[in-house]
Amino acid sequence: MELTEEVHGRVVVVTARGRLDGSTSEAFGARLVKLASTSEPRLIVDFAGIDFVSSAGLRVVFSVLKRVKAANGRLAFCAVQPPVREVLDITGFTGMLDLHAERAQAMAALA
Amino acid sequence: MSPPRSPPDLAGAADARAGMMTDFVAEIAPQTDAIAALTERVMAHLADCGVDSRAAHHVALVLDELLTNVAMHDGLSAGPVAIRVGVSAARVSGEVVDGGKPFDPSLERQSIAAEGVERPPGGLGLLLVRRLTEGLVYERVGARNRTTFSICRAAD
Repeated sequence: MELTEEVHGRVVVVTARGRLDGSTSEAFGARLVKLASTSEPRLIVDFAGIDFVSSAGLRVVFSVLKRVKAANGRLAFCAVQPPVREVLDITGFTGMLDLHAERAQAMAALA
Repeated sequence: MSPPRSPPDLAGAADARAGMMTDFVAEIAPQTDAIAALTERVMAHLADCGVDSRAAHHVALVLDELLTNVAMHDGLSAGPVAIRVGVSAARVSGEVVDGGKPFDPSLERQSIAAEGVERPPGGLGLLLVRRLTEGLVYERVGARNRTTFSICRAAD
């Protein structure tokens, strides 16, 4: 998995590419938790390049979300692809996450 | 003394009788990197076979979850895990055979869909397996677990 970060004012956008599964979830989680360790973090994760998410990936997403909430921050996801969206729907994550169709919408929501 | 039981049907005889072509066979160590590589190979193979991309994704995800379960609960003590995927005109069938502790993924457990950050999700992998498969069957054969499943090629 590739992760890149961009800072836009108070918002950090993380672009992820590849798979979020048992082989990559630990590194993904560590990176996000580090970014969430600030006060009131505002994070956007761009999932346009993520085509596979397993339950191992979902557990890490849940862990990061808890961390961000605890820090009074916000975590949003954008450009979630249909195969991943289906996984989120089945597992109930769709209702739990702040999802946006496009990055610009997520930026506007968190700015 | 009970008679010795036959080993799991890894040669595809049952599928041949059922008219299913066995066209992908692999054996991997139950480790995360090997599981990821295996599911990538399966998806590429199914694409070559003309299987709908959504159905291929479902097959890969189910295999990932079943194999990750073996890796989490038994690790390398489960020994090499045998995977077989067959494609017929209407569906894709899969088989996972491992030497781990008895474990039936078809049984309902505490599969808890996430409902909020206060409630940790549990059993998500098995929830996905049950929701995405048809004919999920488990049997203990000798000292090995054999799990089979099928998924419609034209995913709904």
